[in-house]
Amino acid sequence: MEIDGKRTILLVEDHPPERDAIRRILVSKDFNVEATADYHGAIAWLAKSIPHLVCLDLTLPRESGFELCEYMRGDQRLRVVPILVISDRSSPEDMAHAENVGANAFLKKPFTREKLLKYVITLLDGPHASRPSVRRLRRT
Amino acid sequence: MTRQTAQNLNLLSDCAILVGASAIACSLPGQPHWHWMVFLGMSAGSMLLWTLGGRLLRHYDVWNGRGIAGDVALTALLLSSVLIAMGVLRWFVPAYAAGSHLARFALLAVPAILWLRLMTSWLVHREQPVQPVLIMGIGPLGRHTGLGIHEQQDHRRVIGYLGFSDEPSHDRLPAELMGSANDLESVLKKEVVGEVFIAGNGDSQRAEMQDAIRVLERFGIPFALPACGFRFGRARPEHESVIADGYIHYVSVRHKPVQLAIKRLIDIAASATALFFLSPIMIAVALTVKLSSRGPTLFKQVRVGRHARPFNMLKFRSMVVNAEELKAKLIARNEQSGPVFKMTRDPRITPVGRFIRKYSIDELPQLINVLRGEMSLVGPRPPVPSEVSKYEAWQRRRLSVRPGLTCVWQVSGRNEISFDEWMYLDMQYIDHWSLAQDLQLILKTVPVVLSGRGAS
Repeated sequence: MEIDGKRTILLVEDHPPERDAIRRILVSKDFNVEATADYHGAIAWLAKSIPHLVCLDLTLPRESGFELCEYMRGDQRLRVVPILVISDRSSPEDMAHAENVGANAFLKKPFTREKLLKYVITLLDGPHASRPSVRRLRRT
Repeated sequence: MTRQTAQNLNLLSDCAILVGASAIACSLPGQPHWHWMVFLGMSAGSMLLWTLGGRLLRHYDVWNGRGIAGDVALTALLLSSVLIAMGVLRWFVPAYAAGSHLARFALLAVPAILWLRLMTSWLVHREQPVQPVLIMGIGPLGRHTGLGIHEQQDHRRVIGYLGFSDEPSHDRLPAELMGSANDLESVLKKEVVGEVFIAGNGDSQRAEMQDAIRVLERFGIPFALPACGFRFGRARPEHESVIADGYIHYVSVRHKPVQLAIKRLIDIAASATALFFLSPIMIAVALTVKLSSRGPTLFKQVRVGRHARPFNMLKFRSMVVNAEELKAKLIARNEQSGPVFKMTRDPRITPVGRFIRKYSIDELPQLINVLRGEMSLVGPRPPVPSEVSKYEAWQRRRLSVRPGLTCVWQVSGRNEISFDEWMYLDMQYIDHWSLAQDLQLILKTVPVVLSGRGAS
């Protein structure tokens, strides 16, 4: 779904200050950002439309980000939408779990504006946009 | 700054301090004239003694592995030896040099050099040697573990991966794939590995993980297991520092850092004292060895030290010069089981050699190895490289501690036990090591050595 030629990013983050900060960064680069605070809000929005990318916090009020990944990967329509997990849980195990449930990349909090944009743009436009390599991102 | 640069700077600054202290000691007010003769003698003499002593003790060696406490204690020892030597030399040139010169020199040089060494030692130890890490598991967990270590840019370096049998191989790993989980033992025999991360799944890869743990415990190599295995959306450990990197780390040999530091200090004090009091005997023996048969006084043999680092072990020469070549001819008459060569009436031993071996006098130069930090008073005897290459997995654990002059085996009845029993005793020592036991072993060694019992 493109609005005025802008690509849409669904942002799932329950903490308002962080949500606003990420939204501001993405909007400044001319993305159309839809923000929601939890799993159910995301499901409801995804039922109506398909984003170009989902930015997802793992720690959400009720169901976790892992569950949203599982839901999306089990849904025919949403299977190919890239997912960027943004979380402060960043042990190798957390990252492996995220990858196992279908996340395409993992951005550790705290992050810089440049890093967020690089992850987002790589996932959207990278040479392997459909299956972006986590490693290529983390190496830089 | 690399270790080498730090050590070179340390040497240069130490020399500068010695010259500076000499200059100030000779030119302070209260002196009638500037005694340039005294200054020259003092600075040249102290630098000469300092570099000689430093060389003997491997003071500026890059990888001395001594620890900060040991390093500083050794510096203090070196300083006092140099000062005592200078004090003795002063008696030969009494005309200009007054005792106050030397006292002032000591007052200036000692704290400066000690402080500098403390700083260098601290710098060098912060920059720990590279620790090679092996990762088992090439799934997402193994890959993220490797990338995480890579990102940290600390002293650890991932040298390779081993895959579990149910994992498809792929090319996105940050290090080389060295084989499968079954190859762990052969890889550990070939490569130096500091720690193994077992990045497996406790359900589907349980048996292989358990096998790996068994092998690692036998080798005595530290390993890490994933902290939980479960997926958490919210919960986190109450004490995060325990599993900071998502792993629980295990060691097979218990760490006793304080006792180890004390052990090192005892080693330095005891070996320095022993060298001082035994020096008349040692000089006499050295002369006898030199005069009684052709060849050098000291016999340097490459032995394998802690963490498999080779060093030159010192002995008074007790054999003829071409002993190693003769050994090949005598190997059929070996009387010790396993990879060690022992023989009761070894024809390669010289008459003087037979005497100094009987009372273990030939081992005395190893006190210098102890001072240098390559050996300890008590510890498993350092093996020769060919022995190590024949070790079985569990025997390699001997190399996890500093080798010593005496150990359980030496006081047990010495040569009359089999190689396997000997290894077993050494392993017992390593696993149940304590300062009290060390002291007991030293006390038990004295009568065994004095009686010449069991030595050959």
